[in-house]
Amino acid sequence: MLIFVLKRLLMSVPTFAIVAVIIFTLVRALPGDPALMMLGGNIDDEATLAQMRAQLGLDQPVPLQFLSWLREVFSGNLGTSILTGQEVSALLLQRFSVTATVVLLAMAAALLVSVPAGLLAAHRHNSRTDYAIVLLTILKLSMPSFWVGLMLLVLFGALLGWLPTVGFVSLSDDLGRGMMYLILPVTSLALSEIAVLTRMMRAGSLEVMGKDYITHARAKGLPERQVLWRHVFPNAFAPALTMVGIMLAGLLAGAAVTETVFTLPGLGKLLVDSIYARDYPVLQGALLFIAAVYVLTNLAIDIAYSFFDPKVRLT
Amino acid sequence: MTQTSRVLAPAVLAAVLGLGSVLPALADGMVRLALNADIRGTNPGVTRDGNTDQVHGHIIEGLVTYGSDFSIIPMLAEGYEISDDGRTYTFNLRKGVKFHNGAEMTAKDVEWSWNRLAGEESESHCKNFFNGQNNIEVTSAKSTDEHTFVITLAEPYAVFLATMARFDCGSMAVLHPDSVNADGSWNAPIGTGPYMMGDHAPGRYVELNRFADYTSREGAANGYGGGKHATVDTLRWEVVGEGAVSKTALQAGDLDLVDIDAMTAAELKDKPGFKVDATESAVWDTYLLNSSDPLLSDVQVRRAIAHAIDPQRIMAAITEGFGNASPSPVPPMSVSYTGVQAQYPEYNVAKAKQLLAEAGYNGEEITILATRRNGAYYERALMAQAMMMDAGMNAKLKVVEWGSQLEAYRNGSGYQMQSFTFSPRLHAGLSFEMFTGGAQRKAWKSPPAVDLVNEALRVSDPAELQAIIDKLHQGFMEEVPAIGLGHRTLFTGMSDKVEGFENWGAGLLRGWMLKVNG
Repeated sequence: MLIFVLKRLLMSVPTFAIVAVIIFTLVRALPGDPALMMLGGNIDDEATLAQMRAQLGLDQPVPLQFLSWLREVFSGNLGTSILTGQEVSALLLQRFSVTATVVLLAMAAALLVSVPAGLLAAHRHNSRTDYAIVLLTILKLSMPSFWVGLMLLVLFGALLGWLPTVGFVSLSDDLGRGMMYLILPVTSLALSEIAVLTRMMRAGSLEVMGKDYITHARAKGLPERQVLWRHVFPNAFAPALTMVGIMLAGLLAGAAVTETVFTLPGLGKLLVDSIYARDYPVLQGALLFIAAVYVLTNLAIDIAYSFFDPKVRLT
Repeated sequence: MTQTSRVLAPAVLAAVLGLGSVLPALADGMVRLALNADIRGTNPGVTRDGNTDQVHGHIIEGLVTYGSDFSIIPMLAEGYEISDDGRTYTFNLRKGVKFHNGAEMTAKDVEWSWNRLAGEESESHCKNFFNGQNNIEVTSAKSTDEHTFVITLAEPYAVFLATMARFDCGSMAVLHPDSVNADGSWNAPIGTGPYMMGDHAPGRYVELNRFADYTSREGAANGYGGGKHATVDTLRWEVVGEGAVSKTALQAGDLDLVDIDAMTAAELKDKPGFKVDATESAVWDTYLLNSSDPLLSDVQVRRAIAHAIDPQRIMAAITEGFGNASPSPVPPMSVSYTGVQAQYPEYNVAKAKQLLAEAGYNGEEITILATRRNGAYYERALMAQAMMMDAGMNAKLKVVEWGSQLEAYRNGSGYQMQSFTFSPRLHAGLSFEMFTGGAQRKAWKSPPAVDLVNEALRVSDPAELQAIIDKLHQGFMEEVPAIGLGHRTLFTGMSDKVEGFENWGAGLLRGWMLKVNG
């Protein structure tokens, strides 16, 4: 497995190089002058603008800016935010820890609900239970995340007053309070994931249930619970795992909508803010970081496959 | 939701989860506010933007500041004298003013602070306001004794004090030299304001704590100056990016005072437990017309657009009936706003059509640039488009992201007409200067207008200034370089436990006026 991991990591080097060029080019292609944005637009004298550009390191030719950025990246320095002066790498890690906490908790909650729900729907195919599960997932899928988040805030924050509507407390600072602030964002995110994963799990289970080895297991007289968990679940879950990987990478890269609605200082919110402010170092650093998250998440999912599907060999 | 259930429900939920009591109790004397983006830093006049200035304004003060009617009033200065030739300003400092570290303010501190922002090595954009690049050239800024600070200009300039009072420079904030580290790098602001820097969790919140030894001026608050008798112990700004979320948080009791939009104001104004404030500000909502555009270079076409647009209807629509049209760039609360500034081309579709016919208009496209940024840029553009089409113009909308619009504005190209907003200018001369001049971005480049603006910024006699401002307004109506809509109504929603809130034309929060009731 170690060789597999090393090979995959080596293969990701050219990916990162290409991604770095694309990121730098796209970020510079964005209309809008960061120096002008910083000064608010009402600046006539070129000296002030030039001073701000020099402060932001934008007075150099673009190729030189790229080389200098690349050199710094290779030495592990992603620069400092032109908006706040904070170190980009520290900022990314700080924000990622918030996003990762919410996303991993939401994914765990989603798996806990969607796997049994999908299996149950398949097991009771075409029954009222199946119809109810399918209906609920369709209903959730058709609701925009922003709206669902706001409704949760209105219901549990404004109307019932059970949970806080703004703010965030890190779990490491105060586990109890931290959990209270996480309940709504995790629920909001998990609901979306539950809808998708339940449908994937149901479809996968239905397909597996038609296979000969399931008929054989039942013919052997195995209890239905064992048939479902020992034989249907591992085989049906492998395709759902692909979806888990895609969703996980996407969400770890920044659940911008959820973070905005629930005022979470996460990676997605940072990315959106840095786009609006044309905060080049943060934007470039965040995009590169996201590329790394995708590579590593997919690697983790590939490794996880081998646990569910014996045909998969890590070589 | 009763107070009991608000306290009990989380406790029950927490108990179920095995978490113990977790929600913070509202501290006595804390007012929780919302910021739509985090502060950029703690260095006044250097790491700044509009949000940041608002927070810094509680920590720092300058020698002078703006009063409610936008006149210049002394703040840390007891008073000031201007020499007969208008070049020397002598500031007599108030005695007994303390910094947050307990040290007493002296003229040496003022000199150090001046050089920090306006000196050659300064990282602040403010230095360019005083080094001759923007008309004002300070030749000397020195302390002459412990309580006297003297500034000498190369040439007299009437808006020198107004420039000193600029909010983006923290009114040339007076700070204690220990605000920087031994190597000169920035540490933390040690100011003289009624609040001190508290906890700042980047991306989450910023807190200010009341400065118990604050030496207030006597009397009531006046604009950004006057007496600052702070009673609230802590001001805490939560970073909330979405207006809908801050509104929900206000209703949930998690925030006490937030900026809201017109629709929310209308919804909350009769709701028990809440109060709404609607105040006309000096923020000017306008449409800039690009006179370099082949079609709009014809003044008849520009006048036709002015007659086709009804500012009153648009202002009423975007403010839910709270706001009124005030098309002059000079805000109504300004001492320079008279009956002349109240005049404007009447809304007259027939006249607009007649002017278009005279100009030989033949259905050419007129594109209105707008963005979906907060501030109804898009809605204003949409309504203007409908009204212009009603007058027979082929008006189109082009919606872009704010960065792109700002670039078009700055370059003075890439647009024919754009829905735009100017931040408050608290001197009538500056109200015209913001869009008049030779720079690319300026919509009004007519040489006589530019000369008048320059004159307005130099004269100090109020009657003389008024005469120039009146002339400028006449020219503005005749040449139509822009179409004014009105001065934006700022809406604030708050819990009825918050007392003492008063907004003013500049729109900056004055937390020292707040009180928590019950």
